[in-house]
Amino acid sequence: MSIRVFEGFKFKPKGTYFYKLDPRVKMSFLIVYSILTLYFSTVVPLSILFLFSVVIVVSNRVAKEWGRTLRAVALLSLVIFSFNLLFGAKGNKLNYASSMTLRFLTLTSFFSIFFLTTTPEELSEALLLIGIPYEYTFMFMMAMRFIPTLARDFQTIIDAQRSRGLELEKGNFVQRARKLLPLLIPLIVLEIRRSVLIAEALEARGFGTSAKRSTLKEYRLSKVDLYLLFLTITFATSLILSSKLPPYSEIMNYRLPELVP
Amino acid sequence: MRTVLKSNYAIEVINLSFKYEGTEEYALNNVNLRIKEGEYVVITGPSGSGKSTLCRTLNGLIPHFYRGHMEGDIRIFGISTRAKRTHELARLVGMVFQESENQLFLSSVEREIAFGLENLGLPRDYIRKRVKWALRNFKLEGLKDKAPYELSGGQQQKVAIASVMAMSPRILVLDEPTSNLDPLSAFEIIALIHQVNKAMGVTVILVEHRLELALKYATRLILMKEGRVITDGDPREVITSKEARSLGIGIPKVVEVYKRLKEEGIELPRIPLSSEELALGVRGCLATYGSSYRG
Ligand SMILES: Nc1ncnc2c1ncn2[C@@H]1O[C@H](COP(=O)(O)OP(=O)(O)OP(=O)(O)O)[C@@H](O)[C@H]1O
Ligand SMILES: [Mg+2]
Repeated sequence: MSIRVFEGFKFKPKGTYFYKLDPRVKMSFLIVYSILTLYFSTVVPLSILFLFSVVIVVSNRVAKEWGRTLRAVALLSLVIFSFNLLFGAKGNKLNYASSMTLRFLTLTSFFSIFFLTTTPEELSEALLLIGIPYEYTFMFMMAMRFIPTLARDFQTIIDAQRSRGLELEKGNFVQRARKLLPLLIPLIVLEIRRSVLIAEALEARGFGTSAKRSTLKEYRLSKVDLYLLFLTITFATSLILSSKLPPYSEIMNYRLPELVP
Repeated sequence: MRTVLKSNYAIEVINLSFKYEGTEEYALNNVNLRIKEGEYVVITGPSGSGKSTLCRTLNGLIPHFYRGHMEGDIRIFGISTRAKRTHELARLVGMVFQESENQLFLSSVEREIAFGLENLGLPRDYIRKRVKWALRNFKLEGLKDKAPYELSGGQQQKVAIASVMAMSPRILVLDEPTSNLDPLSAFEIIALIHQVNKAMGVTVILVEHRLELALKYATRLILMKEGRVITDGDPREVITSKEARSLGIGIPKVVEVYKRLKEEGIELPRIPLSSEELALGVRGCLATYGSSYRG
């Protein structure tokens, strides 16, 4: 187990246009494209959507981080592909397996873009703007913020026990998991202590006043926001229309050839 | 909205004792202190002597956040902390802690600085002005959009100080702000605290083990042991007192040199607290001796 997995939760701003978007716009973008990805079930439109996400990734210079996420799900998508190819719905199995895998990758891609370019604060502020109470959005933000800390603390405890001779690499998966279990107790003690120190520091920064909270950032839709919103809507509509109207519909609904058994 | 201030003293601690809930011993034992506005007070003492506990009483964390039994009274500019919660005192007393990990919450330096002001519900224009002020004064403009965890330990503590100072407190309490830092960063943070005290006129209460760095600027040194204040006064007198020796605190090297010179029959006019002061004293001595040799 490596804490590198949790590094993804650390937000590293790049300053490209997607970072500057209004969090509400980003959220609508995510929702529209997720729905589109689930709506199409053929290879061509799904590939178009996937390529579209790649364009956004590259133009926002997050290719490295995005690549890490996709590599992490590579094995899973292989499983999805083989499973559907072997046991998938009756009919064209190759076509079905390919589009299912593409759909999964495309969804991953869009979610990854969203989380790579949105700070926990923005997300919580977007949730606040759509009416979710501050207590909840703040809790969510703090949880995101302290995931890497928690992971690092756990790694410290594991290392400490390892230096005293605990062997975590030995045995099968279940045996190894069982060895990790007792390490949770010092972790919980450590985190309870930490949470008191965090609460104390929050209190000292004026957290918990009855006064209505104000915000430094003002969310007003900028020109870039409007462009992206417009682009999102036109692109989505034209994809749907072209899948309905000939002659494009023929290409859009193209199915891969049957595998010869 | 400034509170009307009713006292000559920034801090008055009167017969203060405190025992944490679930413990038998008093963490603070009949402490009395009077601190004037603009003072630079360094507090030191062995582990468990109650330094952090004393800090917590200054901004109302004790008795409001930490439960326990408190006797006596603390007044901040004449206002009793019993009547005010920590967040109400936040604009009078700012507090910086040892671990930056636990006091930086947001994903950019700018947001971090704004956080306290946002919590108080202050108007956006005012927040913007204060954030700008803090970024400029603490030389953080270049790091504005960086995430705090991308920064070095020293920079993180700088952000923590800037975030607290943005709320324009009159008193800044720092509980071992340099103990996780390398010597150079520690030096920079101590210099920054001096700047806050000198240029902004803020009263500073600094808990610190590295006396060779902190004492240079201090106007007052307090030694604590087992929940009591055992010595309190001019840093030069306190640091050479027998209490200081018996406590085993890190007496600065320059003070040791001073003592050694005195044993050798060379008395410098003033107890030095920094190498500059030592050099100056020695030069003065040399001049005197030089003229007497020639004479
Ligand atoms: N949250 C707490 N709950 C119970 N007891 C506490 C708590 N914090 C401190 N104490 C106890 O109060 C006493 C004084 O501790 P305090 O942390 O104030 O000392 P300190 O001088 O800051 O020490 P250090 O130099 O190690 O930071 C100690 O005996 C300690 O065990
Ligand atoms: Mg302490």
